Amino acid sequence: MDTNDSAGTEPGAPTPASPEPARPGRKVAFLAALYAASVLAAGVVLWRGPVHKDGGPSLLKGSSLLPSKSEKEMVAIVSISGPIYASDGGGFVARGAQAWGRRLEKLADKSEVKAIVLDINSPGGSVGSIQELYSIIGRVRREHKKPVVAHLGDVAASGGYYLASACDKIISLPGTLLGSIGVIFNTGNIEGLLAKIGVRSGNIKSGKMKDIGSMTRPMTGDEKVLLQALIDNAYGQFLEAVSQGRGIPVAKLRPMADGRIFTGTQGLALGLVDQIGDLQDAIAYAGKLGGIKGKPKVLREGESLSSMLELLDSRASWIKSPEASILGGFGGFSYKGLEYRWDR
Amino acid sequence: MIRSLRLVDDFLEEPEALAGQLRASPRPLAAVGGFLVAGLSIFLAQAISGRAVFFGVSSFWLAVVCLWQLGVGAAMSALVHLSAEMMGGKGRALALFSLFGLSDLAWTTVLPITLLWLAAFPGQAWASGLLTMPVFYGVLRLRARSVSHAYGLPISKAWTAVGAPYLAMGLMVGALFSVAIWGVFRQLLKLAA
Repeated sequence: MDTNDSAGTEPGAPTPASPEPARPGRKVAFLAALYAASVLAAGVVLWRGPVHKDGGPSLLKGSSLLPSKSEKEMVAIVSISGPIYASDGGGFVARGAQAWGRRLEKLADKSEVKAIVLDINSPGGSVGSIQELYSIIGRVRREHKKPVVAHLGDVAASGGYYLASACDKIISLPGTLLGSIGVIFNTGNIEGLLAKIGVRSGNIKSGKMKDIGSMTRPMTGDEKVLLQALIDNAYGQFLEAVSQGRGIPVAKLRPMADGRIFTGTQGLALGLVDQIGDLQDAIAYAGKLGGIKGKPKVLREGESLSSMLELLDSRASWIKSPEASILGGFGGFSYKGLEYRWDR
Repeated sequence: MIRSLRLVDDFLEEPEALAGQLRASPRPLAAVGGFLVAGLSIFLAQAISGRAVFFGVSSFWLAVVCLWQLGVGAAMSALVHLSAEMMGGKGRALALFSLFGLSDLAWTTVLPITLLWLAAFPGQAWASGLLTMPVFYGVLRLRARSVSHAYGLPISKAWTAVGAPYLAMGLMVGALFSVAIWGVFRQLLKLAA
């Protein structure tokens, strides 16, 4: 390279271009080759062991160089916590039944996922959302041939238990509150309150049932009959789903399906639960059902990020509208419709 | 490919001459390539050491990391260009962008370093994150050298120009964090009242 031209030029002034060598220097060629080899090695490391929660790829733990089949097989965990509704409406994080359903389907598509543990900690939610998830769990078992094991946390009542009944096995903690098989339609009457503050409400409707469940007037006898019929119908669907999932005849199930709750130990005696155990037991059982030998690896896909965003979202909702957040805690104010939910 | 390698060769062997050459005819595409390769190296180093678990190892996150590297590189080039001109230097932003793209190629060393570290100390993946510090210093050093050559500034001023955006960003993040803490504190006071 001719650099003599740059002599005597002012600092900062453009230095004349030097003629380019015919080929790159050995140093650069060596560095490029080293980098290509590194990328290749990194690819091999990543291919050998998928990244999972309890550690990095297996090379990092000093195992053998070539992957065995079992090293790529894992049990995925999907956590369903809190009330189950289609979505929470105004937040910036996609969550709720739709997000859980998508996560289940995504995991079912992964060939390395051999079984799924559904970690349930929920008092239930809306009928439609619960049935949607129930259907997805059934499809994962039938079409993807992947076993799904339910692990019940603090609470798996009503819709939470409905989902568990769709799984191959139910593993519960001894003190888990489960059961509450039944349907509820929450309503309220704020007519007196509105009158006190001088507000009169009214509507013009096409039929007498159009504003059924209205909070600004008492419920009529006809409406009560209609709603009871709806609830009975949805209750029958609940019984049928649990009966099918658990293999318990409806007649045997009905006496314990009046909305009462049980502990995990009681549930085991009644056949509502298969085993008492913790999450690790559920993972081990799922691994066994999925044909994984030894201690299964665990995949908790995207949960760190989504749970952090959910936390931020809930804090943001609180700051934006504390009143709405408080009222949102009362099911009757936030959702109108039939619910498979344990209503305390 | 050969042309790109020649460019890297010149950047290592004849940096001052290359700075002048790029001032006359910048090579933004080569810079884009440099930033993307840097992004790939950082992503792979994090993935193999298990530090990418938070976001996940997927093509989507690889694209995010590469685009982030490119975006930050472009923004830094613009900011450093402003700083350098404010300090009396004369140069072209696009030439600086080209030089910064080449400087970011130093990130490629993080991959073999991480691999060697993990081979020597298996199970000590957490510490491999610390290895990025000297590499980052190396990148900053190359950037400062590039600013000095491209704008005719003494190396101390070039370091100031390169460090100014980081300092400004740190101050901004600090200010935002303080405002957020103050906001939460005020909310708590309101609730208590």
